Amino acid sequence: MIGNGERTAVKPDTYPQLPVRRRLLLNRYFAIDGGHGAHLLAALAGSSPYIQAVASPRHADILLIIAPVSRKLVPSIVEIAEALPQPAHVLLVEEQAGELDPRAATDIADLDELFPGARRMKASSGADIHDAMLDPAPWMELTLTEAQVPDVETIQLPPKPEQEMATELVVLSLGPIQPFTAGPLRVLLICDGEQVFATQVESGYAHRGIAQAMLQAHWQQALTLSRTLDPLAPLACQLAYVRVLEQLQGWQPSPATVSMREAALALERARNYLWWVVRFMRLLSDAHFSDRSYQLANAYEVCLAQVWRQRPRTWLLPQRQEHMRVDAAVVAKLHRLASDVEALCTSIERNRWLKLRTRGIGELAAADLRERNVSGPVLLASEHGVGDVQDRVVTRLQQTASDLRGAVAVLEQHPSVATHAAHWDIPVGEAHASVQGPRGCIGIHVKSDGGAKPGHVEWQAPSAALLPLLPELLAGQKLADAEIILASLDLALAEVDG
Amino acid sequence: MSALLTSLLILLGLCVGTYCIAVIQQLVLLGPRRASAAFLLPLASAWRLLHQENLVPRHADYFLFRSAPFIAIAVVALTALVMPLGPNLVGFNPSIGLFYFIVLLSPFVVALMNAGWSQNSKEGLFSTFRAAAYLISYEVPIGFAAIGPVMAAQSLATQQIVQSQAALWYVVWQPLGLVIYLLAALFVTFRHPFDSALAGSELEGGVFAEYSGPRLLLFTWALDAIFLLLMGMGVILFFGGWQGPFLPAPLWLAIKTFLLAAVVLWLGRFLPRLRNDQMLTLCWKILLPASLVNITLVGILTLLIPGGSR
Amino acid sequence: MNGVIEWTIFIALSAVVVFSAAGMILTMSMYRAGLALMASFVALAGLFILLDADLLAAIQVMMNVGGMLVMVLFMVLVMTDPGGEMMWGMKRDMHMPGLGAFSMHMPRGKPPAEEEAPQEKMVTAWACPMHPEVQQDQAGNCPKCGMQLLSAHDRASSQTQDEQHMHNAAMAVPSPADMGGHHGHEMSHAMHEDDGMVNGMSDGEQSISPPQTTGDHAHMMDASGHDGQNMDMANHDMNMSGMTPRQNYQMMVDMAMSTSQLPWAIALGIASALLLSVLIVKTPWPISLSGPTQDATSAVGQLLLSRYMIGFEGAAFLILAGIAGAVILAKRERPTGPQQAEHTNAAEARAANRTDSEGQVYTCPMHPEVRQAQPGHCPKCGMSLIAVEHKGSAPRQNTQGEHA
Repeated sequence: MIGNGERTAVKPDTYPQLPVRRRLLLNRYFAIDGGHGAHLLAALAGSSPYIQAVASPRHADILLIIAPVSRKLVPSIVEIAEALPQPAHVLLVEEQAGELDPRAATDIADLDELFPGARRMKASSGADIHDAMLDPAPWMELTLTEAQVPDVETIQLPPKPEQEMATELVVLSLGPIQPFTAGPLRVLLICDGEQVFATQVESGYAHRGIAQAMLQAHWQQALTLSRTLDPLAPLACQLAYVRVLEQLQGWQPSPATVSMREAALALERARNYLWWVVRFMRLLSDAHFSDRSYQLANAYEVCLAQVWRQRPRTWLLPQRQEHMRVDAAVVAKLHRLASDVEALCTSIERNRWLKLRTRGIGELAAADLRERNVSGPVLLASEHGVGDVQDRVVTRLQQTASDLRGAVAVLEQHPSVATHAAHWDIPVGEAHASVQGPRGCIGIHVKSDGGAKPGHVEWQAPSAALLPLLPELLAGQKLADAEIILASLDLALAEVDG
Repeated sequence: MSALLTSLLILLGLCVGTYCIAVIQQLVLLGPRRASAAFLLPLASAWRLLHQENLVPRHADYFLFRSAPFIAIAVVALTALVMPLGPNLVGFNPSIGLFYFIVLLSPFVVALMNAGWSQNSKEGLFSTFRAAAYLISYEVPIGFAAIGPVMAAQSLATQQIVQSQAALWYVVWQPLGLVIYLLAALFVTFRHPFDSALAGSELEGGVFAEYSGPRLLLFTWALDAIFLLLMGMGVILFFGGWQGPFLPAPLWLAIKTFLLAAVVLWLGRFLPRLRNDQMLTLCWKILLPASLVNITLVGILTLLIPGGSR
Repeated sequence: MNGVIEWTIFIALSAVVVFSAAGMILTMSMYRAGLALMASFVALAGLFILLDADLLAAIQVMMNVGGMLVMVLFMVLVMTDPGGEMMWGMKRDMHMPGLGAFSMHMPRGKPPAEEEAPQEKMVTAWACPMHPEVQQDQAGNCPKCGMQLLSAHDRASSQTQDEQHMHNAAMAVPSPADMGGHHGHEMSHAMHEDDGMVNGMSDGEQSISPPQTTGDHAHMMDASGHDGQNMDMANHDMNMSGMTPRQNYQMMVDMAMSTSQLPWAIALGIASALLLSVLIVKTPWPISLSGPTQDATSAVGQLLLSRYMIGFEGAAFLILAGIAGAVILAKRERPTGPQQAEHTNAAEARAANRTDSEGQVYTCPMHPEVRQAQPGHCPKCGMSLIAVEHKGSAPRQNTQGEHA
């Protein structure tokens, strides 16, 4: 990122001093995503012409931070905040459903201390953030202490084969705040001109200490913590936790319950895939497809909010069974959405211009991926095709369509089920469960010693298997391609860092 | 009208025209339903930028960082002088009008390169080199595409080119030239899909990464203005310039320019951002041979059609 | 046009021409020099327009902007000399006399004979001259800027007499506040390296950049001792503490902004200018007195042979001469042949005498797989082995020396 503004002060009498009002028409924001906010930001970016996301902090006047952020990310946040030109404001956003208790996970940074004048809000959708930004009430300006020159870091550069014309490697630090992953990740691209020569990956910027926090919490509280492992796919994590608890308890849910849970999971996967397509098309700057997919994703969000009479997270509990009621009209809408998604998929497949940027780029062999325990759309794309970026895009859209149709089939069928309350006493034992999340297989391994708290919790995140692939995958690619490949892998750093 | 007044009128027209181009850009982006937003946004953005702090990065090149926006604006102003707004309305009418226009596009890109270089950051450096590569690449195609109308009109003077289209617009029998010209024009102005040097996601704003406040406003103004001028010159070269019934000449020029700009911007929506090497491939392997073919065709056609200003 | 306006424009444009050209010579930045040349020619084109030679003006702009641009690009890509803001800043802070590129001359006289490495006490603290807070127990390179660390003995000793007569040799130290931000501007390239933020990887790069200035020829800038003393320009015998005269000589060679062929270049420039002035006065060829008309395209040939020729062609000639001179007369001070062996022997000697960390490995520049613990010769090709950098990987071959 850029930084180090030496403030050449605008003399106050040159331009009229702007009263601290936010009723200005145009707001340009720079977003910092601690790992929880990929979908919020994707929804926000296209929502209104009066709110624009900018690529460089120098062009922005609002710093939008999606809490919680890890401690490790704080230096970068400070640097970006220092790069903002005055007058600047800070908006701290927490997800509405964010139940992450700061006392539980200890690696979360205290943003109030960092930005005392910042405005706080809770948001459940991009529209909430949008309204908050256009709020006419006065905001406090961002004030910073003396700008410190950060320590210059050094890395060891890999040896380069001798060449006739000696060139020099340049190190481009991509991140940690960058738009290619959902969450902060730092990728050091060591480039020889426009070609990536080597890569070093540094993760841990989204670390919140969920696994440790779960050990301190009771079984029931650990459920809410488990949802935050991957904030973009909370149901998948919750379902994994529930399954492992039910295994420990030795209880089998009825087929109807299983299919309902699968339907909820499928709907969440579809949501992830759609927002991923929106973000990807925006990265490619393809206005046509990003608009189409944005409309689809928005329509889907509306549907999703209306499908369940009771939200899945209230009934995805160990041994909880009850008769679900769904809104039939909305299910029909889902059906139509599935066909729309299929139409989008075919037009992306056939689009010649998009292929310029996606065909033949970043191919991964299926055998390699299976060896490394990669699962999810990346593996599917390699199995069904060449495994390049185009295949991954198409695979995700096809999966969306099939997930939607599957969910619709289950919801229409509306099976009846015997009710059963949730039980929270967990006997001694050890169990392992896995769930097909949007990025692959989310696994959890739990040991119980019969007490009120878990004895040992271990998560396996699908994105974690992809990170070690990056150095060999990106080496030799052109710079622009390397970034698109990174985006096509759909890494969610929150689940990687835990 | 005296030359001085005409020049002032042209510069005023430039300011208004730039605003209109920004509006058109927003309209294309947002769709016709958000028209009011499209009209307000450029003004709001200018207002906001004026009130922003004017940052200079530590160790930025002292002169180049500060002077780059002004060089860009100066080149834009110089370029605008040869645009004929009407039969007698041109600020500066040298015998080499079109050639003057085309050669002045290079210093514009040099100003942008200065901006990238002077920022003292790696992203800026990458953008600078990309911009330099594009500058060298598009010069030949745009020159050859513009030579078609010159051959047909047998003059480099812009007024002469417009007047010789009284019978038939050049777009009718030089469509390839128009396409090449428009693509090269997108290169110059760093417009989508050729905005790899300004790439938002990759290079965090590229040449403009470290600019903020009024300087950024000057740069965005200069970019929009040069786009307007290129579209205007495209209209002059291929669409008959200011000729048209009923309405006064400058109005026709404006209408045609904005229409062309709208079409070009709208067509650009369907393409993703092209990669650096794809842009260079386009220029050298596709546009250059195409422009040679274009010249051959136009030359043959000019010779075949007997006499007159065809 | 009105006489007054014409005169004003003429004076303005001529001022731009002259001052840009002067700026080109006086600036230390390659990029700025190319830009200044561009600006000078564009203003010259303006003068042509005043003379109603529109076509020539346009051709002037087109050729020179494009040409200068390519020249700047290649300069930046190929040359590894320092230049730019850092040098300007250093020069300004050191209050060195002389204008721009003329201030740091090549050292005169022969390179001093190689001598033993400076005696060193067994000291435990090695610090970077530019970053006094960096302390290590062993020799090596500073992790922040890549310079060689100096022992306490080296830093403590101040004005060592140097038997070599140096012209403008002294380099005082800019204040630490200034140098604190210069992380990215370290020695080797004209490319503006970055500012010290998250992108601050340039220091890692320093260690394997073409080592004209890193590695063996570390810039020994003493942060502590020299503040006021080396400001005295009259004292020509000053040199940096802790450096052998040989090292000092090498450093001055690297830092010099001109070559020892500079007098030849100046002579060539003056001769060309004289020739062109004579031609423009005498014009020993038939002149067409007809002025340029509208659509002067048909008369270009005649115009080119008339009085405009000198202004136009002469400029092109000067540019060609300059480029040829730069390429052909490029710095030859990098020792080649027998001097090369002496040079690397010196490196070995220094390395052998240095209090090293264990594991100092020597490798062949052409065969990186050959690694030895002692200096010597490569078993495959016979070249002298050079030390592996501490902070990087395989050492860079000093390509300038071979391609000079």
